[in-house]
Amino acid sequence: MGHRGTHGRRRQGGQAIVLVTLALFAMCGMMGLSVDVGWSYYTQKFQRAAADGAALAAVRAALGGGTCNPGSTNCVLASGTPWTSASAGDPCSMHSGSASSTDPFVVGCNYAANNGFTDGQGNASVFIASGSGTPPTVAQQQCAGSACSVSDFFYVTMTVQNTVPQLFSAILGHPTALVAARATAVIANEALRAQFTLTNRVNDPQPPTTGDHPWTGSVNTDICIGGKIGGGCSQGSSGSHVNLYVPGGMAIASTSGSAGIINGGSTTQGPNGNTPFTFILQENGSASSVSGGGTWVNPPKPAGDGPQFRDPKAGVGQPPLPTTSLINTGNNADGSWSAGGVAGGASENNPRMMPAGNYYTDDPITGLPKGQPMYLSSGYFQFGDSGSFGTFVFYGGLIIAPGVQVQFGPGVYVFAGVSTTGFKTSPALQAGPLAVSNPCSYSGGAVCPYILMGPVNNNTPTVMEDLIDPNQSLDIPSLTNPGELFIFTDAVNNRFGLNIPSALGTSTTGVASTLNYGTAGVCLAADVCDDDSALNGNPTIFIGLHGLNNGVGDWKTSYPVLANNFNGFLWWQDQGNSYVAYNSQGNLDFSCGTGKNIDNSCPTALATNMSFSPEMDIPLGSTGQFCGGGSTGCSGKVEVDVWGAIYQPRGAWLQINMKGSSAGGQQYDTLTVVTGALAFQSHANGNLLLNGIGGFVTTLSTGLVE
Amino acid sequence: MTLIGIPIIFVLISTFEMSRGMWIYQTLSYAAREGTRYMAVHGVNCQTTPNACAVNQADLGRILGNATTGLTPGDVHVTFTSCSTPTTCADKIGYPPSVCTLTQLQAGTCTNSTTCTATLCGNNTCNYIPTCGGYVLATPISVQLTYPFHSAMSMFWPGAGRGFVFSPVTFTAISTDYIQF
Repeated sequence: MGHRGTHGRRRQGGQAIVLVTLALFAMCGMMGLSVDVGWSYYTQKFQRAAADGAALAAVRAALGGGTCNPGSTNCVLASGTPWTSASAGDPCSMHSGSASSTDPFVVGCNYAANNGFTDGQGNASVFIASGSGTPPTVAQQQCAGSACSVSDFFYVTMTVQNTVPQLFSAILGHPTALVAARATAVIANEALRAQFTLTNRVNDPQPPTTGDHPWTGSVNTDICIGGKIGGGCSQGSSGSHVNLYVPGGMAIASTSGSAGIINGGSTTQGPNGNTPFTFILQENGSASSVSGGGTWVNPPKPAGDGPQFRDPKAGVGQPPLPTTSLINTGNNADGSWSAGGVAGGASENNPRMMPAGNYYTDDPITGLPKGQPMYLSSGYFQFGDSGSFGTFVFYGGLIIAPGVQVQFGPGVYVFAGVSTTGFKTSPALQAGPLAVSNPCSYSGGAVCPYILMGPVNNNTPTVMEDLIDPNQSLDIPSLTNPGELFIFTDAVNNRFGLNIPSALGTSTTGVASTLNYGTAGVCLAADVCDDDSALNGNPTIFIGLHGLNNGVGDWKTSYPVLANNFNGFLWWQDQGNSYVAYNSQGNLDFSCGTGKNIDNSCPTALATNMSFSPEMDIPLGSTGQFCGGGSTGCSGKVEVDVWGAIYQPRGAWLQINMKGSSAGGQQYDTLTVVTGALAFQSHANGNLLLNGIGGFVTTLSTGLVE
Repeated sequence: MTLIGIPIIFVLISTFEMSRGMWIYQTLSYAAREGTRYMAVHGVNCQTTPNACAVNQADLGRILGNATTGLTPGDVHVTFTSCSTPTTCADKIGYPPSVCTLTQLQAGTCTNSTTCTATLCGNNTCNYIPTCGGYVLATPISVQLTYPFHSAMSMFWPGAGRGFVFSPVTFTAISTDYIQF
């Protein structure tokens, strides 16, 4: 027994060693595996952060440094190498540079290096790839069952990888492992961040406070809601009140204590809800606030500077025209039209067809051009057709006489300046049914309207509307209408590269040199743009227009820059028609002196004598009466049903007039507004109830997509 | 031998189980980060024409499935929160909380806050459409993953067996990011 016991103990004596040894192998293996995997995760976490930051830094450098100008072309940088399945792009060692470099590739690689990943140092490799269009790394992914695609102007893909030594795997013959992280950032369009973007800052030249149609807000006010037309925004409860419902919110860039004024009794409320937010720029301890006796249902909130307070088309420039080589459309020998008037067709089904091209007039007496407006004197007109996307250029303005009905086909309509002299001597205004004594005056100078509509006593409504979808729904973009864009510019500065008809001279000679900026938008006769005294008759004015819609038709393929960057816009005021200077890329001009910046940019020549008011007028009417001068019993009305966006540069301003009624007129529109400052006023009580146009209006932005 | 073997076995199993637990937690954490990042870079701008990079819950399920190697897909519970309770938006970049009236609009029977297993998420084609009032970018989203950890130690616990069930330890990993695009 003892022998057996001794023998048994002897036989069991080494078991512990064996067990411990086996356990140690297992434990060491487990520990090695944990260390290998843990270290890989740990490394990749830092790689991810570095790649994300580097990719974003690179595209932001491209956007901010002006090396990428997607308004004119896709910005593929010359040295960029696209990512492929076989190559992650250029090694960052190819893109070394100083910390102050603005080269996007250097910026990206430097960012990765500053975060611990320098190409070729240690066991790190860093690659940078770029291109435009959907990044290959994104295209190979699946999004909701289909290949992902991102429409970008420029992308940067950063790949950071390390060769990590292995503990556990080394036993199995894998002494190292490759750990990598990849990120892709893009410059692309993003949806506008606020439905009303009001860009004027406190140092900007302010809208004029005198003249025929003065700004009614206080100095440095960006939005004035309420107050009676002809009175002041701060008129208080003695004026009419309005309710303004902006479901997409507002952003106000003024840092004044009266950045917004809301008149007594007015609100930012509609039947479907309240304006959900209003942000006011606050910086450097500014007293950004609003004033007035009305109610901001959701009180405005101060917020730091950001894209929501800036011109959303900065860096994009202005919309390119489909074509600038155009025929002269007129029936005179030189291709002009008679300024004495053009008769239209007999009915809506048999309109006078007006093709794409140049429109200008000759004086009926002298036979020479004088810069007088195109005068549609009677009947029915149709510009363009439903199957094409045309360019129509009007030199001298357009007058639509009472009872005339005009339909606009898809395309771009350019109003290339107005001659004060020509407009005032227009036969339509001198002896025609519109006869008005002072069609355009402003504070000693003169600003004439680009578009002037009737009416007078007449039983036929005066109309400008869509050809394709005249009875559009205001809630959604048309499913059949490519839409139209109205551009308000001039022939003197000619920032759109127009080929001016030779009969008009050039931008510096002849009639063309007198075609200056006018009052943008649509003005109503007879007290031009003041919408006040001459609407006592029966006829209705109807305006039904639809902004560009790149989801319909094939025009997007022919004009991709216009379609991509200016989708949704209906009215566009030239960036030159402003008190704040812009350069050709659509950025603020800082070149006039030292120390210029976003809060203190260069003024234009217009701001020095203020003989022009950089203004747009929109008579957003009401389904109630729109009659003049507080008169009673009139039955004329204005109805404006629009879908689209208004653009004005910073330093310009917008007047929205509404008739309303004592019972509170209603107007529904689908409208997005980008302007310097906005005054929304009414003759009587009114409700302007807007719908947003969703993601149609975009701004350039940078972001990670992978 | 017995006096040595029993603690060694316990130490061995404990070491193994702790390593396995750490593996699971690390995997969950990694998957949560990957899932959150994936949704953050497929945000509101992916809804805007001409971009076509909008994703649905099936895509999220696929990403999570790829990132949870070694875990039982049906046991990985996912809570994806986008612009809805319980996210408070208090930390929304540069914007006051009152602005953030948050909803995640989805079609059909999808709910605001999606809770499912990775497997079920993979079968759900509800679109991910973040909307947060008037401003969506920089809005926080989060992915929370939970996974039950059944330790083998329970087999050796005195009294374990019929009538005495060891409760699993639930590992939770949550990751939050801001909508980037």
